[in-house]
Amino acid sequence: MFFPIDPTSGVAIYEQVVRQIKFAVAGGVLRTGELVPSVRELARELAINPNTVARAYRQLQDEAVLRTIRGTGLAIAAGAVERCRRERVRLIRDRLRQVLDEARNSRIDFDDLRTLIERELKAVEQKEP
Amino acid sequence: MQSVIKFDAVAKQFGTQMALEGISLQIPSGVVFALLGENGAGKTTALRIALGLESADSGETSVLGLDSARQGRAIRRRVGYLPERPTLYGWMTVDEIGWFTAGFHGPSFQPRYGELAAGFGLPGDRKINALSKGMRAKVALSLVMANEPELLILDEPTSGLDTLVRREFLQSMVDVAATGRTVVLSSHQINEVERVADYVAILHAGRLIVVDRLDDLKQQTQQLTLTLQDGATVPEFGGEVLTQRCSGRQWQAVVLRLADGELDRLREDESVHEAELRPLALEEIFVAYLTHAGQPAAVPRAEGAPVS
Amino acid sequence: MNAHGFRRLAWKEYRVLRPIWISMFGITVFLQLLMSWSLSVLSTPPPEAQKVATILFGVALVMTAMYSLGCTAALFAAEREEHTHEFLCLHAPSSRALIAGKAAIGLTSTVGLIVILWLVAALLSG
Repeated sequence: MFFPIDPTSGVAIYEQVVRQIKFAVAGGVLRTGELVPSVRELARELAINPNTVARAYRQLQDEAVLRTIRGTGLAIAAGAVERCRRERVRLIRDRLRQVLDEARNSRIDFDDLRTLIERELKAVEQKEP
Repeated sequence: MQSVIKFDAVAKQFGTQMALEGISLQIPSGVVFALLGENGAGKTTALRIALGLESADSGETSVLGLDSARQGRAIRRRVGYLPERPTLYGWMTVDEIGWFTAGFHGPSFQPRYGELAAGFGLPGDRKINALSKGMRAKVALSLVMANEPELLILDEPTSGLDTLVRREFLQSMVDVAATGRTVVLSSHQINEVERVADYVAILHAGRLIVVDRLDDLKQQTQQLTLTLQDGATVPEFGGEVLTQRCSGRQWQAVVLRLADGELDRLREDESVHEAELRPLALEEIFVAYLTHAGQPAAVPRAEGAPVS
Repeated sequence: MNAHGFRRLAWKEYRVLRPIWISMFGITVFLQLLMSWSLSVLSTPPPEAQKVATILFGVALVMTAMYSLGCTAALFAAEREEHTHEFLCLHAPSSRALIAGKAAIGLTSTVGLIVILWLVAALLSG
């Protein structure tokens, strides 16, 4: 599994691992039933603390994205894809909220804001996914 | 959690210079513990005292339950220590130094060394003098890890090495940590520390100014930027200011433990036009603590409270 | 481990002293050859075998004495020079094994040197 970890980004490293795995599941890079690397392997590959990986895996298990296969390791749980897609929507929603909060704090006129959003939405719709 | 290293009011003076001013610290087992500090802050001195290579002027130090002053040799047999500039017998080959060192350890040393050296791609029949700096460092690391010590102490292990070699060293540290063993790391490479450390301690001019879990430290130390209304002053708020600076109507500070809801309260304050909170990278946190400690009226924070 | 440790340490001292021993041996044999040649050629009548032998034995003794001094320096000072004593501090368990290794090799190499040089002297003087 290849994904970048930025320890300075302000998002906790374990949270980055959680998100990246969820993105991978939502995007079909990781499929239901597929095994994820062991704590040790992933920690080594990303050069991060194994406790951090363990913490990420624990959270993913709590959120039913991963499940244990006795004797083998952790695999993507059934229904995880759907859950991760919904999570991705939630994440986008949170980021939109952040942007809107920022807009509000900069005291942008709401009508101007609405026009801006509609324009951007239109532009994005016309772009290839 | 039991501690693998324990410093109790340890002080050391070199001539007229106080290298360590009464530090007290407990390093728990099974974690990656990073010691940060500038050159001359006392990191190497503290580690050497723990290993019994230097004697403290006062205080007690113990490693794995053994007293550093009296049982230094026993400690050094059980602990893997990689000094900042490891000395090797340059005329020996990679294989020879493994065989030589194996004479002082158990029977599993040599095969384990062989595995590690092969893993690093070290040519067995090359003389150590003929190796590049990075390869020499890998020989030194292999010798230290071959004993599979329960505690690994690394003093600036990656200084002067290229990026690829540094990454390999980090991976080795991660491997050791993954088996539940303790790694104590003193380093300048703050970005590396940020990736692998569980705990961080900052040493400045012989004093311990902060000891905390890395996650907690990053959660509690943030950058607050206030844009003030004309002629207003910075309002009071719940949280400690580590460093601050102003530019025009903007006031920026590194704050500790900002109380919940304070940001919203500040935004609603009539003297504040805008308030922004930003998380900080470890390097910025480090600089802030050091700056704070260097200020004349500074009171050291959380001085060496035992880590539990 | 004690036996292994001693063996390794002795091996190390052997490797450190080997070039010194070989050069000393080479120089001394050269000197002995030179002396025996010059004695037989330059002085008339040629001196008796006993006298030549004594001189050659003397050369061997002096050179061996110098070797033993140089040897001591190499065994003890060199370690500190190269800072490798720190390496030993971290790995070698007892200073006893260390000293024993140095003493053993120092002694055997010195004795070996004098014995071989005397044999050479005996050969050259007939």
